[in-house]
Order: sequence, then structure tokens, then C-alpha cells
Amino acid sequence: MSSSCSSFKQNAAVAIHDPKLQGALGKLGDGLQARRAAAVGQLPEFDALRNDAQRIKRQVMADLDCYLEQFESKVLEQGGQVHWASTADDARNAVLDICQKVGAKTVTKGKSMVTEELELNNFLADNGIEPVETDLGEYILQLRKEAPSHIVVPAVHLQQDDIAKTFVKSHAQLDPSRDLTEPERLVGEAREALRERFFAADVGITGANYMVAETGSTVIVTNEGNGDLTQTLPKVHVVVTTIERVIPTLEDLSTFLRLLPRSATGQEATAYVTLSSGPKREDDWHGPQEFHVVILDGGRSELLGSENQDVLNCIRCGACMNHCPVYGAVGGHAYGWVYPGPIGSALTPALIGVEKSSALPNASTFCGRCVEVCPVKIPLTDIMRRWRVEEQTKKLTSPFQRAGLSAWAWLATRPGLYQALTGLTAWGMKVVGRRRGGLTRLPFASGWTQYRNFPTPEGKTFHAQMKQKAKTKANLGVRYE
Amino acid sequence: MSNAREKIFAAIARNKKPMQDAAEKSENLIARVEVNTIPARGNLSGVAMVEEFEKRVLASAASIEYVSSNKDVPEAIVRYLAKHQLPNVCFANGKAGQFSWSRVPELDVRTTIGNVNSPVVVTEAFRGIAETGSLVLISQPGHSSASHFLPEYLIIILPYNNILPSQESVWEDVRQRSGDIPRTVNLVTGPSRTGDIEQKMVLGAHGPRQVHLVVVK
Ligand code: SF4
Repeated sequence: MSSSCSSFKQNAAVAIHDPKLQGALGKLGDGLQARRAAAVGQLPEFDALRNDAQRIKRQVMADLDCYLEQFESKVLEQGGQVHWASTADDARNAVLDICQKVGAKTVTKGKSMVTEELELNNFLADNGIEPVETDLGEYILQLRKEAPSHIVVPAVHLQQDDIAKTFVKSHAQLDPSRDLTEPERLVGEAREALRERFFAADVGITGANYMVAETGSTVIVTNEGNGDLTQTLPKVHVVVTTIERVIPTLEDLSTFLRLLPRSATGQEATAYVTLSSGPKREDDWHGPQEFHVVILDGGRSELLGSENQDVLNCIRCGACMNHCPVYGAVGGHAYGWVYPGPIGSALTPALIGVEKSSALPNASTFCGRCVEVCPVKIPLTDIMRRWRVEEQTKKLTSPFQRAGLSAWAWLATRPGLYQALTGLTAWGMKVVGRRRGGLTRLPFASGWTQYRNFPTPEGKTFHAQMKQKAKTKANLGVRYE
Repeated sequence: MSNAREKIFAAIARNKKPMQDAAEKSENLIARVEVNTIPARGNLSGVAMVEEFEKRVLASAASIEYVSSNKDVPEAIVRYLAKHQLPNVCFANGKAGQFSWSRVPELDVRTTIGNVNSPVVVTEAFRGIAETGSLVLISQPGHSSASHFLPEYLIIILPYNNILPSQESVWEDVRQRSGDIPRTVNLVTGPSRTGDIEQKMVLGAHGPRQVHLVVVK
């Protein structure tokens, strides 16, 4: 997918002034956040499971090639096929090739962020094959020609009346004055509209939350049932996934299945978890005659062994974005590429280059809520900080900013001078602030003072106050360690 | 794409960092090194386990009833259809076609592949999972796995003894079966649903709007 990450600041400014978007995002607190908290609260073993999950993932990454080989050989053994794709181009062509071999006219699709990465829908359409998104959120977005703004709830940026308008416009054969004020009606209408498409499709494409090496199974974790209709009714099932999704055993799968739904939607279990292994067996009534797994690298293997390797452990639950104050203020589209929120800021620079996406690791206050909720304990803020360092060393920031940072670094490594200067500044600001009744303008800080006043300092720096306190406490026999 | 395969495996081999304490070799990769945590609620047995199962089934917005033998299944289905004011027609999937349907002549039980797309489907579960109230459905010869997702009402029959504490215990049983893992293993927890409209959960997205479980003691 082409990116507009470099326009993050402009995108964010527009998003903040979009009342509809703000209304939709405002529901995250009582919605996904609250539900996750409730589900996690009811499972005392949640943290133990997080530790297990992190261990399993690290174990996989340490021997990734062996697990992938094992998965591949199990798929082949059961009559399936594996297609390796080093680049997005490889993956697109592999999918197209499979579709063309069976003369496909339409393909149904379950929700898959990797196919967003590939811009697969446009590619298939350009080649005369009609892609039909069947996940409700993705279906709505396909009708609106929009990209997902969230990795779990793709249409979270929309409100119900936006969706109703889209349906009235797109389902033109229905009475335009019909009642669409209840979400149930919208869901029912999409169900009707898509039913025939499932039966008519020649190929069904899904993603995979996991590949189980032990059994050669791909696994989808869903709620709607569209993914299952997508992969059981057509002649051909194509799974599009990425190298880091492999896990060793069915027991490991169970660990992730306890973490993923609780973290994503606050459910104890999703309505459906489906394991698919090979094509249908001889006397099975349904199931595909062909089973293909397209496995994309797309830059991920370069993360292995790097300081940022843990970003590969992501299970795409979306909790980090649901809890991120920046995501909550600007929504997913502002990030400008497939993966928004903290995971996007940590992953995107690795996949499309820090040159194109350096705005993203800066789109964080480092409050750390994402790290607190991440079910596989990815140190997201550390990773973002490292991208910032790389941005600085590659000289991608403005010369003014770099000079400022260097000056500050020079000063900060000279504690005596630093304390003297900050003490002087604090005193100066106190005097000026008192006289003017607040600080409405500050040199080098217009980014702050443009939107709010700077509080007038009390007169002493933190360092100075600490020293004084330490002295008093020392007199009382208390020691600061 | 064999070129891509080589490229990917070369990159992984070049970059991967072995774990300090992982002594295992690639031959026994899937031999378990450490056992993962199983929550207490997935470690129950006996009555406590069945109680947990029922609690979770109800929490998933499915309904549940118990009958004392296979003979009673047909009447239970007729009662369910009457309660929901549904016509006396259903598709019985695979082995579910073998219940003593002649006991309920008023019910039109269809068992051929042309009737898979029926509003009411009766199917048998492989196992039930107490920890989550999930039903495990597997693909089998002479059986439609699509029929688990097509109807408005899905009625699942489960022998009492097939209620197991956790997913892990189900995996043991899957391995005990002869041959490969079935093409499709579905864990079904309640009716189909979606949270895609303003994060509100709405039941009945693309799959069944209602799931009813009949446990045979
Ligand atoms: S980084 Fe963690 S919290 Fe964010 S989507 Fe991935 S697994 Fe979930």
C-alpha cells in the first residue's frame, strides 16, 4: 500500500477538527477499553499467560526457519500448497496465478490486514477479478472506497448513520426510506447482500492469525462467520499470511486463544476459531479442492536478530491502539499506512523504511499504556525510541531540531552548568510570568504556547527542590536511595 | 517462487539469534519444552466442570438443555422448533441423520447435500470445552462443514461424556484419532456476532443467529 505517513501532522490536525470522527473515537473508552478491563479482571492467570506467550514467540523467532519448514512439510503432506513471497509483488502474483488457473471471476475475502499491505483488491480488480470483502466492517469500507482505520474493527471511525447512508446509496434496489436506525437492521441487510456472493465465488481468500507447525493448520479467529463461508464454499481456499505467524503446537495455540479475544474485544472467546488443514478430504461434502498458503516476508526477516525483533511477536489484537491517547485523538487514517497506533509506529518503519515513516515513532507521548496492555509484552515505546534515534542519526530530522537536541545533550552531560542554567531560566520565567500573569509566549516553544499557556514555574527547579528535601530528610535520619 | 523461498530462508538463517537456553534441535521442535499455563477454570473435573461449561455456554448467548438418552433427541428438536415458532423442517448433518427421527413423524428431516442451506441445522459436536463453553465441530466424510455457518438456527448435540475441561484436553483427543487432523476444526462459542458498528455487539452476522445445545446424558 502506498503510504502517506509523512503527512501525519497535517492528517492529525484535520482529524482533530472532524466532529464525526471524534464522536466515533470517543466511544473507545466505554467500549473496547472497558470490555478488555472486565475480561482481564476475570482471569487471574492473565499475566502468567502473557509471559508464556512472550516465551513461545521468542522461541519461535530463534528458530523461525525450522518452524516454517515443519509447517510447510505438514501442508504438503496433506495435499496443500505453499507459496513463498519475498516481496509484496511476489505475493500478489502468487494469488493472481492461483485465481487465473481456475478461471476465477469473483473472490470472496475474509478480513486480512496482510492483503491491505499488498493492496490486493486493486490488483485483482485491475486483472479482471472482482474481490468481495465479506467482513461487515471491510464490506462497509469497500462500498465507501476507504481503508481500514483499525486492525480489528476496521470501520471504527464511522458512526451508525454514516453506515446507514452508505447502505442506502449502495443497496439501490431497496426502498430508500427503509428504517436503518437499529444496528441489527444494518447487520441483517449486509447478511442478505452477501449471502449469494459466498455461493458464487470461485476462490475464497482469508488471512491467518496463526500457522500451527505441528499440524500444518492455518487458524482464523473471528466473530461473524464470514471467514468460514469464504473458505468452505469455493473450490479454492487461499490463505495469505506472513512468516512470523507460525507457532509450534496446538497447546501454544490455546495460550494465544486465551489472550487474543480478551485483549482485542474483551471477549472470553470469539464466536469462531477455525483450523484449516489441507484441502477437503475425499468424502467431505464441503471444503475447498485446493488449499494454498501464501507466506510473505515483506521485510520481516530483517527484523530478526535486531534490537526491534520483538515487534514480530505482535498478535494484532489492537489493544495498543484502543488504549493510545494519540490514536484516540486522531484515529487510524492519520497514520497513513496499514498498521495504525503504537504497533504501526513500531512496525511501519521496518516495513516501508524510516525515511518514509519517521513521523510515526514521534506520534507518541511515551505514556506506556500500550506496553501495559500488550498481551505479548512488546516494548513498544523502546522500539519507537530506537526509531527516533535512527531518524536522528540518519539526519532525517530538520537541521534546526538536530542542532537543538545536540545543544541540549551537550548541556545535559554537564550537570553543574545544567543546574545553574535551568535554575536561572526558572527564576526568569517566574519573574516574567508573575508580571504578565502567565506565559503566553516562549522562545523555541511556540508549538506549545500556540495552543495553551505555559504554567509559571514556582521559582526553583526540581533538582534544587530535591536537594533541599534530601538535606531536611537527612537531618531526620531518612535516606534517599 | 522457489527463488523467493531460498531468499527468505537465507535471510532468516543469517539474522536469527538462537535463544541462550534453548538446547533443542530442529528434529524435536514440537516436543514441548515447557508447559503453558492452563487457567484454574480450565482445570476442573466432574460436576464442577459441567457447571462451568453450562455457565460459559449461557454467557456466550447460546441456550442449553439436557436429555437422558439419544432416543429423546428428536422430541427435543421438535420442542425447540415449536418454541421458536419455526416450521417442522431441518437438515440433519452427517451422523445426526441417524437419530430415531421416526419417533417424530411430524418433523421433515432432510439429510441430502441439496438441503444443506436450510434455516435449521442439527449437527453433532466432537467435544465441548468447559473453560469457554465452546463446541468443537469437525469435518467428516458424508458431512457438511458449511452447514455450521449457513442456518439461522444451529442445534448442536453433545454426549455428556464429551464435555472436557479445556482446549488442551480436546487436542489430546484430536491426536488420538487415526490419520491427519480433519480438514476443518471449528470451535464455536455462541451465535455469530459483530462489533463492527460503533463497537456494539450485534448477534447474527453471517452465521447462525441462535445456537442451541442439547446435551445427552
Ligand atoms: S503490539 Fe501488542 S497490543 Fe498492539 S496489536 Fe500487537 S499484540 Fe496487540
